[in-house]
Amino acid sequence: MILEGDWLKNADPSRGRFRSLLLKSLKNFLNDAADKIHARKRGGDVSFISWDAWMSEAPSELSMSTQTLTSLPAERLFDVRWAATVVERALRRLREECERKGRRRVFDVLSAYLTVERDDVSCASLATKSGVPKGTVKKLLYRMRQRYRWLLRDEVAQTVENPAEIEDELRHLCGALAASSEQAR
Amino acid sequence: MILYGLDPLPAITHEPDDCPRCDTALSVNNGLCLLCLLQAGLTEDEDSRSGSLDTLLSEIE
Repeated sequence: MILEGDWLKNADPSRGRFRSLLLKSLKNFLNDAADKIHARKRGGDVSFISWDAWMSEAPSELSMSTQTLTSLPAERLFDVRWAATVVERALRRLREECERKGRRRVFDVLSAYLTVERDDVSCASLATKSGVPKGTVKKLLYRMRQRYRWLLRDEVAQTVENPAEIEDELRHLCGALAASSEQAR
Repeated sequence: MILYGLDPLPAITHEPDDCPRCDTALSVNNGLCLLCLLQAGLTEDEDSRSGSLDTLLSEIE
């Protein structure tokens, strides 16, 4: 409903991030809906959308402790879930690239090591699990990490005005995650 | 038109362990640490065309 009419045509990239615009618009929409419902007292043609319900219903996975979930303000939770969406879209694209080559198992096994220090990786074990030669595992991990980084930055690029803002956006989201984790302790 | 970010957002489930690297307790698929995955993007590679991964995947015997 918030996308009805010329909503997006009025968006001005010079005034801030698209994510912020979306959050602001959603809040306005929910406030308007609540106002209409209160004005009518009962009934009416607008269904009120609960922010909490909207934030908690969706596919995909984001795991966080109950303490973190209950302690975060809605705006911070929005940032955390936005970050999860960006990351999951990049992972999904990487998985699809492996699947197109008939190598879903390679993704399933090696993706768990995308951020693991090289010294902590046993190529022999991963070779057994993934079904590829040991000598290839190291190369695959290197290229999958490289490709994942590119895909992640590409996902972020779709939400900012120009490539120069990718770094800032990533740092903003990293900061939001770190602050959320700290706040919950 | 790409309605980025308007896809269904990730649901919140489970009680994850703290990440041994960054100490946060936020994770996505397969228990991967969300912050570590995001921080990985702060490193920009000069060449990360899909071809290099595609080629290697094709060469696996």
